[in-house]
Parts: sequence; C-alpha cells; structure tokens
Amino acid sequence: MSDRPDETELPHDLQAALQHASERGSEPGRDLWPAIEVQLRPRAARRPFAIAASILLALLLGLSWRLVQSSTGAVPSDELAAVASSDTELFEALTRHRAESERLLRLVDQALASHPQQVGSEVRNSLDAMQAALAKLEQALVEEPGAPQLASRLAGLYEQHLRVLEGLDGRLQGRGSLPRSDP
Amino acid sequence: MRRLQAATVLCLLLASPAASRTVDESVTLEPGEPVRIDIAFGELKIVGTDQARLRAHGEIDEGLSGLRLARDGGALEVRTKLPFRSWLRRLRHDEPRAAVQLTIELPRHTPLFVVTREGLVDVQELSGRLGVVTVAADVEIRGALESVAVESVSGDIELRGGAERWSAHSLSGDVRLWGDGGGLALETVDGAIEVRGANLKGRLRTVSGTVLFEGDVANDGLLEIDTEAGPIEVRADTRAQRIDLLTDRGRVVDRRPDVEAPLPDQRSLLAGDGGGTLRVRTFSASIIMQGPASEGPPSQR
Repeated sequence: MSDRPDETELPHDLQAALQHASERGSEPGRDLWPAIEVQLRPRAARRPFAIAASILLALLLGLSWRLVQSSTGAVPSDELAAVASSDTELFEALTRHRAESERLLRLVDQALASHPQQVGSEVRNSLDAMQAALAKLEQALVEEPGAPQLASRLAGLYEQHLRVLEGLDGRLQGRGSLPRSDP
Repeated sequence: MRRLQAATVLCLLLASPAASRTVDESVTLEPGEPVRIDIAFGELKIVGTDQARLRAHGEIDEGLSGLRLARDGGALEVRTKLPFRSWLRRLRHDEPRAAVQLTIELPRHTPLFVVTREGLVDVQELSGRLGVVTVAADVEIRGALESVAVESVSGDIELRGGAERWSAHSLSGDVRLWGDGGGLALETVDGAIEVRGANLKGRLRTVSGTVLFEGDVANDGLLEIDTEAGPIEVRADTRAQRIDLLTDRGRVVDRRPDVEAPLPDQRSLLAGDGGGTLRVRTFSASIIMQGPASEGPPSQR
C-alpha cells in the first residue's frame, strides 16, 4: 500500500470507507486502489484535452465566420444597424427587409419545388446577384456613413429585393392580374 | 436558346400524329368581355380580329382531354382539360408537361390575361389591355395597345409597337422594346434591357443586367435609367434632349464623334438642352455615351 496517495486527496466517500474499515480493525476484502485510480486518473487527464478542444473549436468557428463574411462581403448586422439608425428612410427599409426577406425566401423555395431544376438554378443565380449588390452597397455605406445618396440607394434596393421576392412567389404560382386601364 | 429548347419539346410532342390531337373550339364574346387564357405548356399564338368571337384551334398533346372554354368570375376562361387522373396533380401545381400549339383569335379590343409556364406566347394585333404572367415562356407582343404588363421569371420579353404604358418585369430574362411613345416601367435583376424608340418616358431599372438605350425622350418627359452594377450604353442625340449621366464608382466614357476624349476618371456628364431629360444613374458600373444611331452601324460604335 506504499504507492497509495495521501488519504486527504481521496474523494470523501472513499475516505469514509477507509475510515470505516480501519475502525472495524480490518483491511478491505480486496485491493481498492485499481478502482480508485480509474476514477481519479481520467478526470485529471481529460480536462486539458477538453479545454484545448473547446478553444480550438471556438477559434475554428470564429475563423469560419470571418471567412464567410469576407467571401460574401457581408457587413456585421449591428454595425449596419448603427449606420442606418441615423437615416429614417434607410432604417425603416432595413427593418422591413429583416422582418420579411427570410419569410419570402422560404415561400419562393417552396414554390420552386414544383418547377424544373433549371428554373430553380436561374432564380438562385439572380437572387445571388441581388444579394451581392446589397452587400456591396452595405459595405460602401459602412465605409462612408454620411453619404445620403448611398443610404437612399440602399433603401431602394431593400425595397426592390422584397418586391422581387413577392412578385416571384406570385409568378411561380401563376398569380397575377390585368394591368389597370389608367397608367 | 430557351426558345430552341421549347421548339424541340414541341416538335417531339407534336411531330407524331399519334402524340397529338386537333382541336377547334369557338364561343361568341360580349363586347369588352375579358378573356383569361390559362395554359401551362406550349406555343400560344394570340391574334386580334374583327370577329365578335373567340376561336381556339391547333394541336394539343394526347395527354390532354381537350380544351375548356367557360365563363368564370366575369371572364371567359380558356384552359386545357386534364384527364380525371391528373386533377390532383394540377392542384399540387405538378401537372403533366403536356404541350399545345394553339392559335387563339379574339376581338382586338378584348382585355386579355394570359398565365403560362413554359413555351412561347406570341400576341399580335390586339388593342386593349394585356397582362401576361409566365415562369419560363418567351413573350413576344406586337401592336398598338392600351397597356401591356408582362411578368416573367426567366423568359425573355420582346415588345414592339405602341402602348400608353409598357410594364415588363423579369428576374433573369431579357427585356427588349422597340417602341413609339408611351410610359415605360421595365425592370430586371440580371436580365438585359434594350430600348429603342422615340417619344419615351418612364423608368428602366436593373440590378446587374446590361442596359442599352437608343432613341429620344418625350418632349418635357423624363426617362430614368438606374443600375447597381449593370453597364449602360446610351445612343442619343443631345440636340433632342438633355442628358444627365452619373456613376458613383464607375466612369463615364464619352464616345460621341464630335467630342474630345474625356478624362479617364470622369464620373458624370451633362449635355444637351432639348425638351426631355434622360437621367442615368449607376452605383458601380460604367456608362458609355454614343451619338445617335444614324451616325453609323452599332458594331462600329
């Protein structure tokens, strides 16, 4: 028993068991150390790996997000909202866009399910082109926040994006009406 | 290319007599009674006539059980009849790709609304209001109409003639107009826009498609061209209109034959003093200013 650690390092329940055994004046019926060692060693050995893995994962996630942002040119949303808050027209357009675009995109995706793949890929290419134009304008506005023409142009493009998505859903489902007689 | 694909599909469907059947249906229309044509696939030739009736004739795929001409919701509706087993598929917007090749004659001034998915819609000699909604069909409209509104996803739109108001929206299809007068509202996302004509006003807008404008703005009118990233070419006579070009991140290239070469970083151009105004704006693209078409063939400008 000389290779056993000091008993104060043992878990409370094991200390109690040893105390109980010594009070009874007898050694345990079997060698308890292998079971104790199994319980002690993995905890001490696993923790550094877990911490290192968590840090690595966090770094990888952060790096991936940065890469995605740099590849799409997307501006962080809080930065954009801060710039937009100084222009009422843009702020309203941005708010509407954030509230509606995801829902409309889901409707378009659902409507595309009943159309040939070629139509789907053409639609997605066009929507990507629009998204790229939005990202470019957002980036320009963040770099030059005081430019009123940029703010107005971006607000117009948000509105156009929503209009396109709404119209697209209708066209894919065969909805529409005659033009009004008064131009 | 898309038209070639549609034609190939039609040829395959209609070449064999066993694969198609002949139809010829007609009905008398009340004066000014609206017509709605709702046919998913195929080639529709729609012609205005002096007759007071609608006549639909041509070939339809054998997978269809015929044509249905019936009044519904205040309009005469022309549809293909599906066999009973296909009705559930139509409700699911998954009907069989059974094509038609039809000529539909109707009174010239009939208000007409066409809904189709793929193929070709060719409209001639109408003079009333016209609306077309399509996914991937190409649309060609010729005539002097009251108003025209076309909406497509990926089909090309070609408009020739006159109308008080031309409206055409496409996502990725090209929009081309040869017009003599009228208000324009033409818009694409990445499809090209080409407009040639005189006495025009309104707005041309695209995100990244190219724009070509060749002609004259209406006297005292305003024609606006706006793109985000789509390059723009203007061929116009500065003696007939005021030209106002501005690009935020691109440059303006002045190729008029009687003007010295501008500075390479020029971002705006103002010229002319005529009655109408052509205002061109783009965020990141370049604008090329040319002389009017009469100064030489386009390929040399």
